[in-house]
Formats: sequence, structure tokens, C-alpha cells
Amino acid sequence: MIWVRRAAIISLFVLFVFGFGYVEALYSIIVPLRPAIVERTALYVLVWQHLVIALVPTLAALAISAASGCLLHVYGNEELKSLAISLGSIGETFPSVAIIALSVPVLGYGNLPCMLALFIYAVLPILRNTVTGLSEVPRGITEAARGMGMDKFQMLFKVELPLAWPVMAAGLRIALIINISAATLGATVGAGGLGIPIVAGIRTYDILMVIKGTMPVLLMALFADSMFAGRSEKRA
Amino acid sequence: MAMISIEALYKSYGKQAALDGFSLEVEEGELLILIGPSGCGKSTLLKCVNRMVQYDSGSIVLAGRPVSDYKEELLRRGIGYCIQEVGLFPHMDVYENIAVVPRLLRWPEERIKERVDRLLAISGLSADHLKKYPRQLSGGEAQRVGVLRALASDPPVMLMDEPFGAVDPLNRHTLQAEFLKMQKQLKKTVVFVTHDVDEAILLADRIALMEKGRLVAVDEPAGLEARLDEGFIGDFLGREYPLRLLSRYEIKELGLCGQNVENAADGKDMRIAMEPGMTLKDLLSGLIRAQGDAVLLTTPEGAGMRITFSDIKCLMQGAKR
Ligand SMILES: Nc1ncnc2c1ncn2[C@@H]1O[C@H](COP(=O)(O)OP(=O)(O)OP(=O)(O)O)[C@@H](O)[C@H]1O
Ligand SMILES: [Mg+2]
Repeated sequence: MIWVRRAAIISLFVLFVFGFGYVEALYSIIVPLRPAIVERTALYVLVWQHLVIALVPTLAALAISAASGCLLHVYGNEELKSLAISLGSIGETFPSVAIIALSVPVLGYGNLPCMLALFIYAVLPILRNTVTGLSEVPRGITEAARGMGMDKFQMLFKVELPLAWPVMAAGLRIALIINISAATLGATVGAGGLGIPIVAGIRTYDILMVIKGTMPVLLMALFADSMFAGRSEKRA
Repeated sequence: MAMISIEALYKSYGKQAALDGFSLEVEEGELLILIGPSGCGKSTLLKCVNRMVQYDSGSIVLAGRPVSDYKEELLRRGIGYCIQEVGLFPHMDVYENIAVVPRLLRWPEERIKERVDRLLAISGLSADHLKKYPRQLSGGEAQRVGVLRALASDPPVMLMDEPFGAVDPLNRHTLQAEFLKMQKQLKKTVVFVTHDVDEAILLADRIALMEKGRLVAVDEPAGLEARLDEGFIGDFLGREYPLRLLSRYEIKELGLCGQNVENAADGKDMRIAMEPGMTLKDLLSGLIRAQGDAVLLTTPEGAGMRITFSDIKCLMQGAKR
């Protein structure tokens, strides 16, 4: 079932990315295109840029926050842990536009401020979920692990991480989906990606151009979501 | 020499003393039942033995070496431990759960497989269970797996914290019987916590009775009968303790088949057919139901013997278990 969903999303996506040129050509028969706003970059290039801008910061955030979450769990005390949890919750309420805007003075225009903003935005929910997930492993289970003679790291890798993974994945899911859509905002600070046609389309009242940018973003977000749906359905 | 000797052990959580000068020796190959009311420190004591809990003062010597001499993790790998909450790992199937300690000890996989097969054979679980996950097991099956997991590396010493606590009485009895059979073969040194007096009577070589972190009495089940007048002992074990004690003695093991075959033709006595697992308690129930003051116990071989109220006490005293 989940595979059907994934396949459907992918085929729609491919169809859209490579077939959109024909739609544009058809459309231009009725409404002649204004040459000034013809998009010069091919759609698949924009998609590729978008993926890099959204995924690289998210994966980096996963690595960093999973590692620091584990360290916090093994060596940290209760106060540090609850600090991480509340920071994570605050971070989520912070609008990503604001983070992107704030990072411009530091890093200037381009892809970098956007990626940094998305990275910061993803670190907090994943860190929070790592810490919560690890501390929510039932006491009976950690006691059993300790009682059988596992040391701290054996407990972490053999017992706690596998059990905390669904909670961590929930954080990753939120971060990934938000970042795929938030990456479009990068266009306002000079980053590439699918934000470019969207922003340009809005400026010129060109619906077709907005659709050209939004549809792939939507499909990518849906696909990312379906990746996680498979996992949680299997575990439940 | 005692396998485990605990001396003057103190442990307090804040102001509250969980262990208050507890001393006890457990012999090698002995199944010692630790019994007492909730909160008297039974779990704490077990956890002191495998150093899950650091005690304040006193000493615990295991196989001639103070436990504080061992490296914590290595000590625990060498002791079978069933925790009160069962605590099976939900992301591992039954096989992997049982294999945890052998894998920590880096046994080769074939040896683990062999060991699991052997454990399975003595446990009443089938091979189909090996691929199941804990959530697919019934409460009784999960507790069996918990016990097997503790037995996996064939440790000489076992600490069992209410291993059959979460099972209904009927299943519980099956598990107890299985465990007793297993223990008779394996002869482990076991400290077994319970607060079920019947369980203690059935399983124990000796019963250690605990109250508020102290040892009140330690003796064979039959020996405690004489001390029921001492306040706490009588209160906890119950005044009907002698009656419960009867269920410890299986008629088949009393070795009276074929003796005393007389009066078999006396038609007046109620007949009771001897069944496997029948205990002196069942016999007494039969006596109470009977019209006269004797019943005729018939064996499957066709022999019969006449048993009266006074025989029951004699049988019990003559029993060696
Ligand atoms: N980690 C802990 N922190 C504070 N107090 C504790 C802790 N563990 C146990 N205690 C206290 O120590 C006392 C003994 O606890 P323990 O768990 O040993 O009791 P128990 O005899 O095993 O009880 P039960 O039969 O209910 O399992 C209890 O009063 C309990 O409240
Ligand atoms: Mg307890």
C-alpha cells in the first residue's frame, strides 16, 4: 500500500518536472508569454538545487543532534536534558523566515544563509526528540539491560537507540517536511531552488509560474512524509 | 562454604533505611526464597548482590570474593538476573532476547543456538516462539522467556525478583512446577524473591523471611511451622501455614506405593485414586470429605492403602525433600 503511494508520488513528480515544458507551450498559444519573465533555468536544475538546499542541512542536523543527544543522555544531567527539550520546543515556534532573514547579515546573500537557517531550524526538534526518546525508554528495560551486564555504550546502541528511534524519526519527519517547504523562502535572500519561480511568479501575477514551483515542492514533501509513514505503520 | 554470604548490610535512601543490618548465607546449589511484605527491601537486596545498587556498609562475598572486587559489568554477566518488571527487549525477538548475555560474553553463534535449543527443551516453550516479539507473547510466556534469558549463559548464581509475579494463579502453578523440575536438574544457587507464601512453600529449600530491611527468620519450610507463635512470623505466614505446607509434599515422592496394602477390601472407606501431582493437601481434603476418618488411596497399579488423619502428619515428618 505504502509502495503504491510512493510510486504514485514519484511518477507524478517525474511527469511534472519533465512534462511541464509542454504545458507551458500549450499555455503560450492562448496567452503569449512575456519574454521578460521567461525562466532560463531548467526545472530539473531548480529541483536539484532545492533538494540540496533542503536535504543537506537536515541530514547534517540529524547527525549533529543525534550525536549530541546521545552524549547528553549518557553524560548529561537532568537540567541539561530538560533545557534541550524546552529549547527544541521554542525553536519550533520560531518562524523560519525570521531565521533566514537574521542570517543574511552574518553570511550575506546566496545559498549559505538559507542552508544555515534550515540547519538551525532542524537541529532543535531532532535534538529534543532524541533526548525525549532516549529518556522515555521504560525503566524496566534499561534496568534489565544494566542487570545483564551491558555497559553504558552497549545499552545505548543495543537497547536505547533502537527503542528511541521512532521518536527521533518523528522529529526528523517534522524537520524534513518543514525544510522542504521552507527552502522556497531562500529565493528571497538570493538562494536557488524552487523558490525562484514562485517568487518571480508572485511578482508578475503569473499563476503558471507559481504552480511550476509549488507542485514539485508539494510532491517532495508528500514523498518525504510517505517515507516515514511506512516505518511507523510497520512498528505500530 | 557459602556461595553468597551477606553480612550486616545497610542501605538507605535518604532517611529511609531499605536494608537495616541484613545478614544471610546462601549455600551452593540452594534455592533460597526471600519473602516479606512489599517495601521490605527484597529487590534492594538482590540489586546489592549484583551491584545495581551501591550499599552503604556491610559486605557481600560471592564465591569467596567480595563483590566489590569484580568489575561491575563482568559481575553482572556472571549472575543470572530476572528483574521484577520482566523487561524483555521489545525490539528483539525471543531468540535475541535469550542470546543477550551469551553475545555479551562473545560466545560463538553455534554455541548460542545449541544453548537456546536446550533451554527451550526444558522450558515448555516451542521453537515457534523464537521468532516472536515480546508483544506477541502472553504474560506467562514472557515470564518464561525472562527466566530463560537469565539462565542463558548457564550462570551458577541466579537472582530472581518475582519471576512469576505477573501471571494468573493457574499458569503460575505450571511455571512453578516447571521451574522446580529445572532446578532439580540444574542445581543453581538461587535467591528467589516472592511475596506469595504458597510459592515459597512449594519451591524453597529454605525460606528467609524479611521485615523492614532485616532478616526475621531463615529455615526450611517445615521448620518455620514451629515458630508461628512469634508475632511477625505468624502474621505474615498466616495461621493456616501448616495446612499450606501440606501442598509441598507430593504423594508420589513419599514412596509409600506398595506398602501398607491392607484392608483394600474394606468397602466403607472412600476411595481416592492417586494422580500425578497429587499432594498431601489433596489427601487431607479427601479425608475431610470422607464419611469416616480414613480414605483408601488407590495407586494406578491397583494397590491401595488406608490413610487416616494421623498418618498425614507422620507422612509429612518422614518426608525428605
Ligand atoms: N531508587 C529508590 N529511591 C528511593 N527509595 C527507594 C528506591 N528503591 C527502593 N526504595 C525504597 O526502599 C524500600 C525497599 O524497596 P524494595 O524495592 O527493595 O522493596 P521490595 O521488598 O522489593 O518491595 P516489593 O515487594 O513491592 O517489590 C521501599 O520503601 C522503597 O520505597
Ligand atoms: Mg521488589
